[in-house]
Amino acid sequence: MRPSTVRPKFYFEIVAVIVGIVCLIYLPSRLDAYYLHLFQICGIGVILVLGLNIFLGHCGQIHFGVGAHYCIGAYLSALLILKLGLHFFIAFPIALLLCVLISAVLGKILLKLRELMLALGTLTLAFIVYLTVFSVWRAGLGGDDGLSLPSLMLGTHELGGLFTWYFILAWVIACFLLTQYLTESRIGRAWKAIREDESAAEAMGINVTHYTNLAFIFCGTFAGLAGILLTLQSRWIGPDYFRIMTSTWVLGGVVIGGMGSNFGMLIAAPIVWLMPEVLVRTRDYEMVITGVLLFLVLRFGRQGLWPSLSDLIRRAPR
Amino acid sequence: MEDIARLIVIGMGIGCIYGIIGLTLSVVLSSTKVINIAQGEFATLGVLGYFFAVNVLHLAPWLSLLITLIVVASVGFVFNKLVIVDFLNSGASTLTTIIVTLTASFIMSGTMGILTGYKWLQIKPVFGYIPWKLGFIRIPPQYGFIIATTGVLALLYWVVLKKTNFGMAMRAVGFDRVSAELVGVDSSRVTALSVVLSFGVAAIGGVLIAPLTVASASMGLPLLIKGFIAAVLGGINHPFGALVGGVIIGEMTTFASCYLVPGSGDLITFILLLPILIIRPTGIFER
Repeated sequence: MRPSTVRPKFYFEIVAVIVGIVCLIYLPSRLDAYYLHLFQICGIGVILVLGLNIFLGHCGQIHFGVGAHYCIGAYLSALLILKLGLHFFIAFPIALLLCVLISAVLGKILLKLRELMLALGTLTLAFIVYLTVFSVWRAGLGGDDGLSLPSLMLGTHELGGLFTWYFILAWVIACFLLTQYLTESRIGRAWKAIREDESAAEAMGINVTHYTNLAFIFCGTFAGLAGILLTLQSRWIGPDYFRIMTSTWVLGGVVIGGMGSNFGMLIAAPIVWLMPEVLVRTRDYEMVITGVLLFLVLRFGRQGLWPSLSDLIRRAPR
Repeated sequence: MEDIARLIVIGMGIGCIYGIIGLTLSVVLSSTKVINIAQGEFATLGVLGYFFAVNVLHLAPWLSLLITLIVVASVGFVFNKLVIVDFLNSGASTLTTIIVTLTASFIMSGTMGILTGYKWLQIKPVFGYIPWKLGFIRIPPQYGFIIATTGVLALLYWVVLKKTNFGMAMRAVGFDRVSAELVGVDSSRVTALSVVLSFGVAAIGGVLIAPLTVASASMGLPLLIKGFIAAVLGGINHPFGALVGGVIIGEMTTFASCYLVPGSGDLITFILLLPILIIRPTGIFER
């Protein structure tokens, strides 16, 4: 028995929670609108990356079209608010439910494909959604001009940026806890088995179709949720948010954070989402820097940032 | 009637380019088991080299093409060594290969973007703009040139694949690498050569289509996706499937843009692709 080895970790967790509360709850109330905006977009990014991590990291399937679900969620809630005149808090659950249904249907169709063909199929999905929004259905969806939403009111009181941040934060925490719970449950173990070897999992009596469908639904719903939150956050949506590159950024986030590591996503999403903000002056260099960063991660820390970091911490002399 | 005939030629010309890119993709896939997302960037590199040689150095087209091919081949050898041999030597999963080559594509496309400032690389067609008369139809010369070149390239590929020792070695390595090595094929040399050749052909495809589109440093990925679709449509393991798939896509895009909603060609292609993928995931030519 060496009680001393337990204690440092305990302190570490308490410190982490306190720092977290200060940084995420107190600090934003002191910041100006621009920095609050950065917090908000990082929160949305975390939800997107967590969702893809379920399908890609835990279940081991390829999905190139997360942007499609993101786009569907955003435009659904915007249309519900603008065309039907619903209040955001009524439109929110309806849009979320529709996202679940749409992901279920898309999953049924797309998951007939495997590996390479799945990659192509999901990419095709992303293109179909993007082109529909961008060029084909201009009249309903506003085309390039996008859709502007009225500001969010509760009674006569306007809910500002700080409320939006707390709302997003609550969803981030909920999504994280849900993912963490799922990963350690029976479902998560089934996903892991499928990731390691599909035929072996099938032979063990795991219903591969059922569980990959389930992972797809979670992935699509998380991305749809992120899209709905985007309409709340930016009050304007347009095709610019949902370019094919968006799906690639999300994929990059999952790779950087470490496929299959939920904590890694919490670090990776802010890195990926803040990069365009930091590099706003050097837009031309954005692609090269992202590419080199991804290449280094893939070459030297194949597991991703969080697993590599926690390896370092564990190996460090106490 | 003349309009339809001309549209068929135009669709075929565009489709041939998609077919060429798809063909090179399937060559790389069969010899290295890698789906190379960076294939489109070699087409861009070709355009960039050709643009530089013609518009800055003022060289003749054939000399520019030669220089371009030398540049592409040297970059291709480095790419083959760094990415395919060192990184993805057999055993990497499909997911890893896709992500790694996507990363390589980012780096290449981003570098070329910085070099050109993401400007439009305007290239003049070799045979000018005056239409060629073929019987009762008049076709823009570049499309005719593309179709003729594709025909020659396809014939060359067939001769190399079926009639030479190198082609036989290529097929053997694609069929089973270990067995090929056992009977004395230097598999790493065969792979390197076929990969670099495929990059060169992709570059020729890029140079051919550049005068017809707004060519810039970011043209690689869209071109690759079309090529990928062409290869899948024709069957990615079939040697000439990609060309047929490419022509089908080219015709579909052209006719849809012209007779249905303007600008909807790409959307129609993608919407039609999904059912084909699901009903015949191995392509229309494979059993």
